[in-house]
Order: sequence, then structure tokens, then C-alpha cells
Amino acid sequence: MLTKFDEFHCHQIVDTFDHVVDSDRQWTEKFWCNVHDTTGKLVLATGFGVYPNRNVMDGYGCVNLDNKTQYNVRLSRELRPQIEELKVGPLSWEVVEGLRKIRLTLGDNEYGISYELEFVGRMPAHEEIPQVRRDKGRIFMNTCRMAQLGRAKGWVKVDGKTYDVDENLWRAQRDHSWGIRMGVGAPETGVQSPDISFFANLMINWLTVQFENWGVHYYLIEKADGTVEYLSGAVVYGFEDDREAIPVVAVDHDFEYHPNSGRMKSGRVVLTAADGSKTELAMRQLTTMYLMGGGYIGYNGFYHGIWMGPYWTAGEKWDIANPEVANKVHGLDDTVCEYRCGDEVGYGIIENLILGSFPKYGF
Amino acid sequence: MLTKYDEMMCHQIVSTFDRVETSAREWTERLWFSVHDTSGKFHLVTGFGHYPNRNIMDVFACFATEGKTQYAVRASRELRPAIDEVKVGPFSYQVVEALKKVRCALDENEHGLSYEIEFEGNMPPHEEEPQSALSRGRVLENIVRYVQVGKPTGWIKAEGKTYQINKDEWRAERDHSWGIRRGGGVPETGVQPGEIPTGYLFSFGIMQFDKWGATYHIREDWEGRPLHFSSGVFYPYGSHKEELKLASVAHDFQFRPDIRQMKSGQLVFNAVDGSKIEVSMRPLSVCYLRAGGYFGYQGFTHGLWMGPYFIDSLKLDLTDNDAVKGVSFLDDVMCEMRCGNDIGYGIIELVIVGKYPKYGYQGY
Repeated sequence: MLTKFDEFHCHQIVDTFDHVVDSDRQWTEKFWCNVHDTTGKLVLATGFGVYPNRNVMDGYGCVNLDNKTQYNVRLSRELRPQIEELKVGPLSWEVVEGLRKIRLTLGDNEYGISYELEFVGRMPAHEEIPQVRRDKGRIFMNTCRMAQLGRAKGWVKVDGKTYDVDENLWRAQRDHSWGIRMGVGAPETGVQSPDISFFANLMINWLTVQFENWGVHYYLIEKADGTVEYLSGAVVYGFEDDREAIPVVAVDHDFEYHPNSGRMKSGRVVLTAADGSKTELAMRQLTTMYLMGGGYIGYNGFYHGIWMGPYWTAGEKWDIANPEVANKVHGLDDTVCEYRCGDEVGYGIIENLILGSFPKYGF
Repeated sequence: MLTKYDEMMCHQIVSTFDRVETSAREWTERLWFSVHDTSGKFHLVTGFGHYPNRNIMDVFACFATEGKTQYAVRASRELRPAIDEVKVGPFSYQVVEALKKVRCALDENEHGLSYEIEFEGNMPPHEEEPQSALSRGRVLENIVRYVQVGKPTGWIKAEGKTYQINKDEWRAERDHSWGIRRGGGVPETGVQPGEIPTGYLFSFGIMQFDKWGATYHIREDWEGRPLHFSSGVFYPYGSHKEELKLASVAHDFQFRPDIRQMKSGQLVFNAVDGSKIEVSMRPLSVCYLRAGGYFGYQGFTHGLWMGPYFIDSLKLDLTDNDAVKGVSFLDDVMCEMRCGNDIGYGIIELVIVGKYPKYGYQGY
């Protein structure tokens, strides 16, 4: 089937853009954007998943207000024939200017939140090192990802009250990834059990932070014994800055968690860059976005990529002021932090997921 | 390397749009764009080639006027880092509205040819059946293509003279293809020589009448056995008529005595529902694409590395028979098409190599 994308000079396989290179069900193209103010008042996350071999597109929009109430909206639809539009019901993601500007919209709906935002990139997008993993010869992970730091402008409406998003006062970060991913759809049946030993006793840690004219991205997978399984990161500079990004080659971390929980509270990291320079960042939690509200790792029968019928929506409010609720919805979280580096103050998020035991932090 | 295309949600492989699925040198993404009036006086063909595994983008424009002169401008550049711009020197190509409107331009330059043309599709694009061919187990050809008819607006300027293009008296055709193709770069060395067919016919046609249009693409061996067939009859936007699927196309061409170029011809489109459409063709003009680098001409071949930036031009005297013989191979023959009382216009490409007894050819 011809698509609008086929007009462009960017084919990668001998086929139309209706198809990807192989028929693996796990093929996923994913988008995520996180927008927050610098006081911890409001954090918003939105994202999309496109699953060409499942014929599904899904998405979510979530807002945590005052770190007390999190509002969630999840949506899913049949992908074809509108394979070219990143839009599910009232939720959309539109490229205004490639690698620079994105428009994010959640129109009227019954779940209490709506917004119209523009993400404005401030620093060049960072291209991560691809991750490839196999289990008994079969690839279960083969992904490319880019991430970018920027600002946001527009408005967010929560339960009838409108919050202006000022480009000077709010921060934003986003990513875009594609390839073979795990944790998509319902677990397969009638197949040999997967070898999950890789996931036992490890920490997945993803961080983005921006200061006035520089920022840091890194993605770290570290085993409980300190072995680094994967690290991709860079110190990046603003668009107007001529300095090239410098890869991050080592991360030394010291994190603190809320009592009896894997939820992050504060921490310190020392980054070693490829030129030998070290950057020390101290972080303090301002608020948290619980991505389970968007369906990460599954919520209430919904998993990313799962077939929910031609069109489906769901949503709810969570009382996350209650630590019991917060612990229940903790999984993959965007912890919004104030970062300090010497005299500089920056903002960003940290994702920290510990699986199994991790004695360094008492798990 | 991230490209502007990576912003879109249309990845097909686990890589950025800097790469394609295979490292085969022959990977080619190609645009072909033809514009002509309906009298046969003016006929321009332009095209871009994009070779991610050669790190090249190239382009040509050929403009034939009044059957007397053909201008050609050819250019080439290093593909990266500007991989996401269809632009080589003064040449550019822009998608205005996907699958409907495109614009191509050749800015003023020292080679005496320039233009600015907007193509507006008047019927939906036709997606061809993919072409594939193997030779000794290796893919020789594996191409996806779509074609579209439309009407152009704009202007062409040659040697200081400007020709206005209007939708009443002009027609346009275009295609866009990608995959593994033959004929790019220079022949490989140190490899087993390629297989030479006894005889082979290639023909492509695309035409538009007021209320319908048609296209076909066929490959046959020397005995007329089909090696590839793709064809469709389509209808204007807004007609809500589905494409008519075709089972076969029968051809009967008559040729010039000196070169294998059609002089006239008849086509019969046999639809899957048993209906037949008969079209007779009368050539009005010819544009010699070889001058634009198809299979190489005067030092320029599609996909050949010409350095970081290259541009040249040439002028052919089409009244000189020897010049025509030297450049004729893949020729865009613009024809008046008749089908009952309908009169239409379009392009026929026809290449016969080696033996093809049906048309009296006994060998190379």
C-alpha cells in the first residue's frame, strides 16, 4: 500500500512504507516526551507506540499535579489504513520541524486532562548506540534511539484549570526509538520460556538533564556486581554552541530511595567523558511521573502493542499522595529532579528500574 | 547519522535513514519526471538518482525542442551529509503534497537550461508489481515503483528563450522507484562475466486521456515469454472508480529502419474481467535519455563517482542521424494515443536487445 511517506527519498527496503524489514511481531516504533516546570508543580508525559506487525497504534497522556494526583489517558486503535498519522482519537504528535519542533496535543476527553504543547529542541538530538540482545539465537532486542533536550510552550488543562507553559520556565525532553523490543503485547504462548537471567539483579538507569547551554543524556544497564552491560551517553551543547558532543564513558552513581520502595528520592552521579573530564551532578526529586499510567509494563489488562479492538480508551486518577498507591504504580518512573553541578542549576528526569536484588542499594 | 527523515514514524529497519537494508552497491532510489506539450514541440525529462551505498546523488535534465535540438545538463554530488535533501547544485526536487504535487527546478546556471515546474497529479498513483530477477542466485533486480499522470505548470528556459507551461496544452508523467537496479556505476571487475540474454524486450508506457489513464511495464524474453508484467487502468481523482486490473498487454510496434525506435504501434490491454482496450500510438517527439546518463553517455553514467561536485552539459543535433544513432537506447517517445474517439498523450519506452524475431531482429 502506498503511503505519504513513500513520496520521500528515504526508502530502506524494497517495499512501500506500509511494511518493515521483517515480520517480527515485536517491531515497535516508540515516541516519548516529558514536560515539566521547575518547581515540581506539574509533570506531563505523552507517548506513542506504532506496531506495524500488530496493526496497532497506541498512545497515552499523563499529568501529575502537585505530586498528589496523577491523571492518565490511554488509547489504542487499528493502525491501517491511517498508518501515516501519529494520532489516536484526541491524542496526536506532529512534527513541525524535523529534529527541532514537535506539536503535542490531547484534545477534549472524559479523563480530566487536555493540552496543546510545542516541544522546542534546544540541543542537537543525541543518537544512542544501538542495543542488540539475543536469547537462544533469536533477537529479542535490537533498537535505535534518539533523545533530545529542549523546552516547551503552550498550555495544560487539568480538571478545568488551565496552566500556561512558558518556554522560559518549563523544561522538556523526548525520545524516539525503533526496532525489536521486549515487553510488547501479550506474552507468547506455546513457546520455550524465555531466558530471563539477563534481567535478574540489574539496574536500568536513563537520565536526561539540561543546564543553560549544555546537557547530559545517558542510558546505563548495570548488573548488581557492578558490571556495565550497556552504556551510551553524551555531554551535549546548545544549537548555537560549536562544541561537539562528548561521549560519556563511565557513570559512578550513588542513589537514595524512598523508604521501603524503589522510588528515587535523590542521588549523585559522577560522569567520566571520553576526554577524561569528570562531571559531578547532584539531584533532588521534585516530582515523579509514573509511566505505568501510560501502560509501561502493563496496567489493568493493557500492555503496549496489545490489540484492544479498532478503537479503545481508558483513564483514571491516582491518589499518589498516598505512598501505598505510589508504591503500587511504581515501575518505570520519570523522576523529575533539580540537578546541581557546581554553581549551576539544571533540570531533567531520571528513570531508575531495579530488577531482582541490588545489594548496593539494599534491594 | 540522524537525518530529518528519522523524525517520521516510518522506519523500516533498525537503523537511521542514513542506511538501507543491504550494502549492495546497486541500491538506487530514482525519480523520473517527464513534461511535454501535446504538439510534440517541447519535451523535457528530468530525474534524480540517490545511491546510499555509493554515497552519490545525481541528476539530469534533457530538453528536446521541435525535434531539432536536445539539451542535457547532468550533475552529481557526494550524498552525505546532506542525505535528506533532494538537491544537486542548481537542481532541486520538492514534495508539495505527498502522492499529488511535486515541484522540480533547475535554477539559472551557466549551462543555458533552467526551469521551474509543478506537477499536479490528476489521477491516483499506480503501484507497480515489484520487479525481481536473479542471475546465478544473486539478485539482479528488485524494484518497487509507482507512476502517476498529471498536469504541469511553470516554465522552461533554454538558451535565453522562455516557454510557458500551461495545463491545457501540456501533460506530465512521473515515477519513483527504489531497490536493486542494473546499469549504475561502472561494470564490476574481477567477477564472472554477466549472463547475456539471447534476446530481451523491455517496454514501459504511461498515458492519460481526459477520463482515464493507463500504464504498463513488461519484460519478455526473445520468444515473447513474459518475464515481468505489471499494468493498470486508472481514473481521475473524484471519480471514485477503482483501478482496473489487467491480465496482459499485447503489443504490435512498427520500427524505424535504422534504429530500434518505434515509428508507430498498437496496444491491447486485456482486463481481468475479459474486457479489452485498444490504443494506437503516433509518436510526436523523442527525448533521448541516454544523454542524461542512463547506461552512460559522454563520460556520465548514473551512480558513477564524479567527485564531490560535478556538472556538465551538452547539446545534441537531432537532425544529425549519426548523433541520434549514437545516443538512442532508452528513448522516451511521446505519443498521441487514440482509443476509439478518445485522444490522449503519454510516453512509450521500448528497448529490444539481441534477438526478437517477432519484429524481425535476429541478433545483436
